[in-house]
Amino acid sequence: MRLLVLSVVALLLVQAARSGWLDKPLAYVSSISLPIYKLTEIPGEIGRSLEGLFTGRESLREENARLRAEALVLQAKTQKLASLRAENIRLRELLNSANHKEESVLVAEVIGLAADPSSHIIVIDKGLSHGVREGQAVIDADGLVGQVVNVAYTHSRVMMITDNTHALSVQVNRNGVRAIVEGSGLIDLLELSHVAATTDIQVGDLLVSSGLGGRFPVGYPVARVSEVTIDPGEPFAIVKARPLAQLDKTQFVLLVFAREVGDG
Amino acid sequence: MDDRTHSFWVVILTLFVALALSVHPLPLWARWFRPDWAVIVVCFWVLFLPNRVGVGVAWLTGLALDILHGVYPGQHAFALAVVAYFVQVSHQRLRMFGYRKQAVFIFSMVVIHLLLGQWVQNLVGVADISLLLLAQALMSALIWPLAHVVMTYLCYRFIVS
Repeated sequence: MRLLVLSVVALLLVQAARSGWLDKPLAYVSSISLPIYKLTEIPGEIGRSLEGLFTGRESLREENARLRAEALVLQAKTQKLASLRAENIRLRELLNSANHKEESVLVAEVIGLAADPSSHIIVIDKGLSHGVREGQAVIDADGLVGQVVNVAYTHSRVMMITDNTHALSVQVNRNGVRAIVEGSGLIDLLELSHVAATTDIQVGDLLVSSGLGGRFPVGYPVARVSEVTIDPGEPFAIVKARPLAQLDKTQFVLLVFAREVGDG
Repeated sequence: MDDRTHSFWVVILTLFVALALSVHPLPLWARWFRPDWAVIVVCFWVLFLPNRVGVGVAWLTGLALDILHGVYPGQHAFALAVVAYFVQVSHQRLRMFGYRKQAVFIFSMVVIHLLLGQWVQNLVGVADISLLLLAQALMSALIWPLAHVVMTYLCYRFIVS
C-alpha cells in the first residue's frame, strides 16, 4: 500500500518537474549536493598535492620558463587587438550591421561528472548566484565544450557537445559551408549530419560555431574533420570530426557571457 | 533509546557514503562498471533492520539520489522503493541464503533499479538503453559480499539493532 502511494507520488513528481513547476525550488534544494561533490573531489586533490610535493625544482623552473615564453607570445598577439576591435566596430557601423556582441568569460572548476555513463554531462562550481543562465556556452582553452543545461543556486550542469542528444550549428572555417554537428556518445567523436555528397569539406577542415540558433556565440573552434566517406549509393556523405576541447581531461572551463555593444 | 539513536546515525552515514560513491568522479569507461551503491546499501539495511528500514527510507534515498544526479526528481525514488519492496517481502528467505545466492539476488535488484530508471526517463524524454547496465549489475553482485562484511562489522561495532 505504502509502495503504491510512494510510487504514484514519485511519478507525479517526475511529471511536475518535467512541466517546469519545480524549477525554482529544485535550484535551491539541489544546492545541498555541492558539498557532496566537493567531498568526492578530496582523494583526487590529495593525489595532486602529493604530486606537487614531489615535483622537482628543476622541472618547476622549466615549466616557469615555458609559461613565460607562452605569455610573451600571447601578449604580442593581443597588442593589436584593441585597435582591431575598434576598427571592427567602426566598420560594422559603416555597414549598418548592428548588435556586435562582446564576450567576457568566467572561470569555473569542474567538480563532477554525471553518474549516468551514457550522458556526457559535467558539473561545474558556478550557478545562479554567479549569474549563470541556462543555455550559456562553455569553452576551454582549445575549443567549445558545451552548454549549460541545468542551473542550481551554487552549481550547474553542462552538457558536452559529444552527448548523443546534443547538436549545434557550425561552419567550415575555410569556406563558410554550414553543417550540423551531432554528438555521438563517444568522447572523441562528433558526426556531421546531412552533408550532401557534393559539399566541399575535407579532412583537416576546422569547424567553428556559426552562431545560428542563438545558443553559441560565433566563431569558437569546435572540431576538426577527421574522416570523410562518400558512398555513391548514399545521398549524404559520412563526415566524422574530433572535438578540439579537451573534453575528458578539463579541470577548468570558461563560461561565456555575451553582451551587446554598439547597437546602431 | 541510546542504541536506537546509534542505529539511526549509522544508517544515515552509510546511505550518505553510498550517495557520495555514486557520484565519485571516474573515467568515462569506468563509469560503466560502477557498482550501484545505493541499491547495495538499501538492500543491506532492509535485510538487517526490516522493521525500521523499508520502502519509505528507500524512497527518500532515491529522492536524494535524483537531486544529486540532477535528473527529474522521483525517478530513482520510484525505482528504489520498488527494490526495497521486493527485498522486504522476501527478507526472511534471503537471510538464509549464502553470499552467492544473495549476490544473484542483488544482481537482479540492480537490473530492476536501472531498468525502472530507464523506463521513467523514456516516459519523459530520450534515454539511451544499453545492455551495458548488466556490467553495473555484475559489479554490484561481485562487491556485495565485501559490502556485507564491512557493514555487518559496522553494525556490531556500533551495536546497531
